[in-house]
Amino acid sequence: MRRLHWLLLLLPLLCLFVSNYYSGLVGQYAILGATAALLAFSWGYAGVLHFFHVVAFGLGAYSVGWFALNLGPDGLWLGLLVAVLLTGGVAFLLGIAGLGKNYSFMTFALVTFVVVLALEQIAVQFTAVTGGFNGLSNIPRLGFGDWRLSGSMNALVLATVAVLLVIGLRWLSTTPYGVALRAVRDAPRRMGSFGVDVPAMRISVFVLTSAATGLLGGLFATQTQFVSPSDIGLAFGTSILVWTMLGSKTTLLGPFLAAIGINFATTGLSESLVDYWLLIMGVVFVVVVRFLPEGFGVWLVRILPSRWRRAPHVEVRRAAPEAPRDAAVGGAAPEFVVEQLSVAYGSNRVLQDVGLHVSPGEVLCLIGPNGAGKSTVLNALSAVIRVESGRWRFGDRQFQGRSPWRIARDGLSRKYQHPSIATDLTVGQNLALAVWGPRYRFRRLLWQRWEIEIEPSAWRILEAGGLDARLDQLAAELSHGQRQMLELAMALANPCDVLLLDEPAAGMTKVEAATLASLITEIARDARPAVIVVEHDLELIRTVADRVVVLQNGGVLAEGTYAEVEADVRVQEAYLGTEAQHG
Amino acid sequence: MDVVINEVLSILSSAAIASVIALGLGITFRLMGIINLAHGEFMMIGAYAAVYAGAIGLPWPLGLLAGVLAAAVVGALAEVLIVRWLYSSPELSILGTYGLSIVLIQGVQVTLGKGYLYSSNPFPGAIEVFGVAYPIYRLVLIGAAAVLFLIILLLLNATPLGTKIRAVAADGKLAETLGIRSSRLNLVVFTASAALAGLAGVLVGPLGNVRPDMGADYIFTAFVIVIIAGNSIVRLIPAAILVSTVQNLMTFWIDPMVAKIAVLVIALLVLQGLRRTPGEVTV
Repeated sequence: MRRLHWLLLLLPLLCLFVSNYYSGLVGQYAILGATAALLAFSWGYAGVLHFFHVVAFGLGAYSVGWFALNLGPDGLWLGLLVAVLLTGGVAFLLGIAGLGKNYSFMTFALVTFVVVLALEQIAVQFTAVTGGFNGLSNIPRLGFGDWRLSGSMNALVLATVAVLLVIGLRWLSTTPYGVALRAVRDAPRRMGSFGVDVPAMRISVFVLTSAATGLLGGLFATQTQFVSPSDIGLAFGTSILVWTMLGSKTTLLGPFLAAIGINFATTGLSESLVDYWLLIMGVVFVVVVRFLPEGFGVWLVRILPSRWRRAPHVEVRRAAPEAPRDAAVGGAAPEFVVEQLSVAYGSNRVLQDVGLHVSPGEVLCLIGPNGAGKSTVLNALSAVIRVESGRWRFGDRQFQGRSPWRIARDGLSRKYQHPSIATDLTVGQNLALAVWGPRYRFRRLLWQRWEIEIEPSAWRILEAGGLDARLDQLAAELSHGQRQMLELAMALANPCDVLLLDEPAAGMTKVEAATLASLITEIARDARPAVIVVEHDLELIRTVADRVVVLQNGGVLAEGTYAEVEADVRVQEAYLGTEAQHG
Repeated sequence: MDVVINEVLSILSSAAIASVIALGLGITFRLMGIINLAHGEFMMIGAYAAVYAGAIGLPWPLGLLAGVLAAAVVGALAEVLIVRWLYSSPELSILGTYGLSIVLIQGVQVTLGKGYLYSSNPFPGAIEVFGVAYPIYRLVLIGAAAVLFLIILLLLNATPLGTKIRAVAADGKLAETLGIRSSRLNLVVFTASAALAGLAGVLVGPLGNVRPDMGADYIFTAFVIVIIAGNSIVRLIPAAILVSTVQNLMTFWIDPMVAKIAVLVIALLVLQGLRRTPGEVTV
């Protein structure tokens, strides 16, 4: 039943049976529908809201118009090529500037909005190329030389391209790439820590959808045979946004069908109402944003049988145990060493010259009163926050100054305090993204099958949490303790040299915490990562810690075995009145 | 030499206008995390109110007041009816104000017509500055912008109200546990921002024409300034001067379109080169 969307191919065939006028509309509206679906893909699936879609569409239409009118009718093919390259190129530059590591959702939306404002005015003023207000008219239809498609055949080709594009997008959304995009949308920081190159994911989807929109704009011009500044302007952009929202941006067919349906329902209205039409569009838009932001598409999805939208099964296998990694390196075993780590939040110094060292297979527990800087150490080491100074390395592999995903790829794995797994993915999909994150670039994810091999230690955690039997279950359906276990398994799914655990037992029952403690000990013994645990649960610390470091006011107060630290008078002083009350 | 002085004054007065518009945008962005795409339309409302006040014979100061009030009322209504419900989602707040801008432009167009209106200049004539005759009105604008910035910064940093507003900006939920009614303060901030837009609208009236889509002429520059300044209000001033300098010089010597693209490129470069302060979350 999942193949149902191939039925969409019947839409272009309509062009053979209806009058010239209506087949032209089918072609145009199918293109607009695919444009809305592309916007849904970048906004709803990948979480990148932008107004560039209308610029891409307009740039495409103008390039086809200009090349066809200036280089002869066959110039339109070159125009289509330019449409794709130009919009893709501009999107790439915008993406580099706005979707990189300083990405801010608001700022990027604003930047693209400003681009629309500028381009709309340029289209009006740059008369030599764009024809100003009058636009470019008499653009030829698709064809070669004197042979040109008739209006309805041109529409048939356009509608076919549009439908194939939507089907292609649907396929893309089910590949590991599409699934990873959704995870990046929901938990960008987490995915970064799994080694996913988050900026590259965002930029790739922005460039891809923009270039495709440029192509659609170019094709659109061959049907209307006319381009004007309104094809690049905000009013048109609003319409596309309305279709996308009404059809539900988290679906692809929704926006596609919404655009076609709304356009057919209102055919002719926009010409007869003119100014009132835009006013109505604006009011509808505000009402949708305020009362119906999810759109109608998701309602439809909810009433469909659930087996129609089952997530793909992920084949999870257990990797053969490896020889301990440090044995391979000659001479002294490499250590995880942190030197002179300093972090400040504004003028507030949180860490001052902290130094740590952990051997493979050793478990170091970081404790200290609230505000001592424990979590800050982990955030700094995994590059989630910027450090002022400091160096950290495993063996001769330096980590400082690198982005989170590079650090993850170099074998430093991290579990956050609050489970931040992607809840609308299955357990297996979450594990798969954790395995692939450090290994594959996004291109590889396009062709990757849903099969993974995870480390024995990760498998052991799945078993302990009862997750090995729930691989096809949505993560949203798991209990808190199980989510913690899944998150830990994800951190260990690939071989790692350094494992950072931020309050792994938070929110767990006593029994779960005890199981976790023995798991941590076993993992350290067998897989031999250097482990740093930040924890409040003293029982867990007593069980797992080979060594304890006490932080206070951003510096190391004491260091030693659990017993030594417990006996230290300074530690007792630091803790009395804070931790002592908690027991 | 005269050309230089003339150009410097032009840049300063452009920067003054742009910075006042950006100030209104900047306080909602900095304090509420909201980018108000209808800001230019609040300006337009203010400008219309002043023109109509002038038409019934009210003196200029009352027209100014009318513009500020009209924009403030529309802003407050917009906050209560739309924006307030969208705070939890930044994308919906952007889209909501975007829809609002279309409604306002088209609403005014349908009811009051597309025609251009003109507002009279309250300070006609020129005065000699360093040997150059310069319109008084533009000099007044520079002074007005400086005073406005001073008032807003003092209000935010040296009054109890300012402290509360900044507390809500930092964490609305937390502020509520301290007994601060954050929904009320958000209304105050949004209304103040709209009032500033209305004021800016009245001020730019005499420089050009008043029409439903006049906001678009000014809002581009203001958005670019906000992008460059980030979420800092003080940084709006150097950003406004930088953008106005580039835009004025390139418009004068090269082409207005090239000037637009140039400031856009500057904004993108700043965005790319932004180095966050240490300790801030980077992803």
